[in-house]
Amino acid sequence: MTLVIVAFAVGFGMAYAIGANDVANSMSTAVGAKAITPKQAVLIASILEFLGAVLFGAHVTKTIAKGIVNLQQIGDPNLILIGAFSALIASTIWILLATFWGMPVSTTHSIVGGMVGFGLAAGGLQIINWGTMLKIIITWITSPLIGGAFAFIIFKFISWSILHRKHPAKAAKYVAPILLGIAFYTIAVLFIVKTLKKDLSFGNEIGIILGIIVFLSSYFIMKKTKITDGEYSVVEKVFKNAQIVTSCYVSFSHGANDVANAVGPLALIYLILTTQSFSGVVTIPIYILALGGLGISFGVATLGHKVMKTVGEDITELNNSRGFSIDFATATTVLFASTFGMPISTTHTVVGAVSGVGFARGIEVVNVGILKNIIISWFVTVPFAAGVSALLFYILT
Amino acid sequence: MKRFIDRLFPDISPTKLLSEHAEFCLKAGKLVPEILDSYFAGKEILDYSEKIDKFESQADEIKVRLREIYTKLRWSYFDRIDALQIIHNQDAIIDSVDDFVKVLTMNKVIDCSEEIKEKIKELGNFVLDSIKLMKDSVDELKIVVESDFSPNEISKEDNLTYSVEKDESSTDTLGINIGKLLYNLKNEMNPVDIIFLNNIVILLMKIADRAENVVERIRMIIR
Repeated sequence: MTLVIVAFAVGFGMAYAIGANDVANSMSTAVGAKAITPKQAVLIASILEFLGAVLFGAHVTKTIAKGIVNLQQIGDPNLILIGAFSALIASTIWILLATFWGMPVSTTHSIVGGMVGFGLAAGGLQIINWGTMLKIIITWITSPLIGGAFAFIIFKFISWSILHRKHPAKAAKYVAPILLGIAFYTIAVLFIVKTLKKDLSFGNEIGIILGIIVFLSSYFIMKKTKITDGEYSVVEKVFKNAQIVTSCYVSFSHGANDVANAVGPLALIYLILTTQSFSGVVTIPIYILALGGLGISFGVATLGHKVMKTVGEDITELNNSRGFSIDFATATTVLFASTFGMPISTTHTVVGAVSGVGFARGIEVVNVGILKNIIISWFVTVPFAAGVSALLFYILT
Repeated sequence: MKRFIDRLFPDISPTKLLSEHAEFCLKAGKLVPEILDSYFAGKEILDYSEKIDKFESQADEIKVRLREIYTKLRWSYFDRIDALQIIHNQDAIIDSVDDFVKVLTMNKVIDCSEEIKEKIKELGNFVLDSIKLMKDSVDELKIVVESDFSPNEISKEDNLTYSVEKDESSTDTLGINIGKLLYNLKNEMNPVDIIFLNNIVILLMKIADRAENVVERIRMIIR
C-alpha cells in the first residue's frame, strides 16, 4: 500500500511539473498575442489539459507502459515494478536538473529514455521493442517537420483566402470559422474512432455536425467585429478570437499526449502492485489518467500563472493570424500523434510550426538557431535519463 | 521551458522598430521649415540643434535594438542588410538635419533677396514632404508584411515609391534652380554667402536623397 501511495505521489509530482512548465508551450502564442490574459490561460489550460488527458491519454500511456520494453521477456513482476519506478524517478531527476539549469528538455524524451534504460538494464538490447522505438524516433523527427509543413499550408491558406483578398476583413469572418469547424471536426472524429473505437462513418457524421455547429456559432460571433482601424486590424481581431479556441485545442492535445509521461510507468506500477502479477496486457484505468490530468491541471493552476505572466510580458508581438496557424498546426499534429500512441514533444512541434510559418514568410525574424536545442535535447535527454534509470535499477535490484 | 519558445522571436517586430525610428526622422524633418523661417527672420537657431540631438540619441537606441535583433535571430525573410541599410539611411536623415542646423549657425547671410529666401523655404517644405512620404512608406512596409505581401498592398507601396521619386526629382530641380539663381548673383551678393547658401541647398537636397534611398530599399524588399 505504501508503494502505491509513493508511486501515485511520484506520478502526480511529475504531472504537476509538466503542468507547471509546459503550460507556456500550449498558451504562450495566445498570451503573447494578447488573445487571452494569463489568468484566462491558466483557467482554460487547467480544464482542457485534464479533458485531453482523460479522453485521449490512454493511447500514448499504453505505448510508454508496454510499448518500449518487452515486458513478457522480463516476466518477474517485481523487476518490472522496480524498472517502472527507476524510469519515473530518473525522468523526474532529469527534468528537475534541467529546470534548475534552465535547459529546454522534453519530458517525453525523458520518460522514453527512462524506460529504455530500465529495459537495457533488465534484459539487454533484445528486450527493447526496437520496432516501437524506431517509430517513436521517427515521430520525433517527423513531428516538427509535419507541424512545420502543416503550419506552412495553413498560413498560406490564410494568406490566399484572407490576406490577399480585396476585402481581407470580410474574408476573415468566413474563413476563420471554417478553420475552427475543421478543428472540432478533427477532434470529434479522432475521439470517436480512436478512443471510443467506433467506425469512421459514425465519426464523420458526428464530426460534421459538430464542425457545422462550431462554424455557425463562431461565424455569428465574428460577424460582429467592426472595421475600425483598417482591414488588417480586423483580420487580426478575428484571429484573436479564433486563437482563444486554438489555444484550447493545443492544451487539449498537450494533455492527451503528455499525461503519459507521468502516468505511463505509474499505470504499470499500479497494475503490478494491485494484481501482484503481470499478465502482459495493460489496460489504463481512467482514474490513473484522471490523476495525471489532475496533476497537470494542479500544476497549471498553482505555478502556471507565474509562468504565463512572464510569457505574457516577455514574448514578442506575434500576429494573431500567425499564432493561429502555429497553434492549429501544433494541436492537430500532437493530437494525431496521441491517437496513434506516439509520445512526441509539444515544444518541438511548436518550434516546427513556427519555422513553417517563417518559411511561408509569415514571421519577420525567427531564431532558427533554437533548432539546435532540439538536437541537443535528443542527444542529451534520452541517454541521461536512460543511464540514471539503468543505474537506479541496478541499485534497487 | 518558456525560454525555449521565447527565444524564437524578437521582443518587438523589426518593421515596428523601423517605423518608430522613422518617426524621429519625421520629427527632425518637421523642424526644417521652422529652422529656415527662424534663420531668415534673424532668430537664434542653436536650440533646434539640441532638440535634434535628443531625437538622434533616441533614434540611436532603436538602431541598437534592431541590430541586436539581427545579431541574435538568424533567419528572416528580410535580408538583415536591407533592414540595416534602411535604418542607416534613416539615421543619416537625422544626422543631415543636424548638420544643416549646425552649418546654418556658422554664418549670417546679410543681403539675400526675398526670392532666394522663399525658394530655399520652399525647398525646406519639399524636404519635409519627402520625409513624410518616406515615413508613410515605412509604415506601409509594416502593412505589406502583415498582409503577407498582398498584391494590393504592394501596389500601394509602389504608388508611394513613385510619389517619393517624383518629390525627390522636384527637390533636385528646385535645388539646381536655386544654385543657378545664387551664382547669377555673383556680382551683387557676397561670394561667401553665395557658397554658404549653396551648401545649405546641397544639404537639403541630400536629406531628400536619403529619404528616397530608404524608399528604394523598401521597394527592393517587397519585390
